[in-house]
Amino acid sequence: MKVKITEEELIKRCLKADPLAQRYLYEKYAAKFLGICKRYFVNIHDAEDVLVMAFAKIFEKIKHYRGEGSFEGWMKRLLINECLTTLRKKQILFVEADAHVQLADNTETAEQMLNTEDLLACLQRLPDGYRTVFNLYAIEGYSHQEIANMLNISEGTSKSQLSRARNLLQNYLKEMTKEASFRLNEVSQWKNIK
Amino acid sequence: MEKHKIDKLFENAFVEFVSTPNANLWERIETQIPQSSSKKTHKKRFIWLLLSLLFLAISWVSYRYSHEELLAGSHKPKKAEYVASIPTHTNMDTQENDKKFDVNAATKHHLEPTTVLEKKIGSETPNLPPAEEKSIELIQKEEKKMTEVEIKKDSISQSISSKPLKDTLQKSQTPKGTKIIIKLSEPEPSQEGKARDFAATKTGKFLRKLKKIKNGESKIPKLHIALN
Repeated sequence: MKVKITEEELIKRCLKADPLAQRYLYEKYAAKFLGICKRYFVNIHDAEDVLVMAFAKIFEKIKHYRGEGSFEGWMKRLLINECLTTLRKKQILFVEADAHVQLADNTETAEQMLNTEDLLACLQRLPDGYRTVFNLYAIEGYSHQEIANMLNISEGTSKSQLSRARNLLQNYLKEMTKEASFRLNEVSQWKNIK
Repeated sequence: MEKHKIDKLFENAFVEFVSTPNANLWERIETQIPQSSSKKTHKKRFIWLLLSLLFLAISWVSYRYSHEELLAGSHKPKKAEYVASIPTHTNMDTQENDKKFDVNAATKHHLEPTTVLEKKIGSETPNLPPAEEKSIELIQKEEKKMTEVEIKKDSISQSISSKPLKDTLQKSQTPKGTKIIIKLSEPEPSQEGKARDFAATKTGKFLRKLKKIKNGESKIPKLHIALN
């Protein structure tokens, strides 16, 4: 039998270190948070390690949550900080790149032909530095100034990293779309033969 | 500022993106979670409870010990008790009285201090008081060191099987049935009794000396005080 519990109640019980509440919180957010971790790390084991550490921190620091903003947002921030700390430990390099590169617009076809797993594969092909900045700017919605502070880099570096990441992603999408269209053609030809 | 098309594409794709974690991931998290405060408080409570119980036990034992000591101390014969019994014998002139009132005999049989005192208070009267006679009777009764207990055979269960008890049982045939006599040995004199014996012998000697002085058999000893 499933018992519905409000977020407030869940937080209160987690504050009391109730193991059942902790488990419930984990079950509720683990899949979503692992999805986030996968965007930052190519290796699934790294992503899982970070998730474990992040949940341990959430349960440890839950007493510091003052109810300002959503609880999920607070947990997400902790998770992303954990991801960045781990990446920093890996000493990712943020190389300066040309900021303004004209990209061929093929996003609409890519959107139609590729699924989330394909996009994740594209994202994971990016170098660590590019991927991190892209994740923070494009998906999490941080500004270049915030990213610069978080990663201890200059704003210019953040911008150039983003531009380079976009450029590379465009190329990867092109490749992926080609592959996908080729596969589609093969399938239609196979159907015609039949 | 408008978002880039690629940014939008990825943002939309990953808004609801989820990935099922490994089954054993929670176990790993559990090991990393700091020990719950409730468990800590439970432990603390248990420790405090244990300590308080220990304290209570110690205090109870010490109280009992001291209380028992006090009780034992109250039964110990005081000097005053013996002193009170001394002057009564100055009135006893005859040998008979001396025989009747033998403090040594009384103390040998571990009379209760109160009994001894009763006897001595009674003896303060000029003629031999009935109280003293009574006490002598008591002494005589107590001189019977062996107590015979008659138990009918029928009432004794066959379960008396312990060897030392069997040894002490003596069976004798009577027309009515078998009588079992249990001989009880005299208990060893306690420290209290020993102390009383010692005091009594001293007082007895003193009394005898007093009588001798009164009869003129011996002289009053001179008191020699050496001054340095």
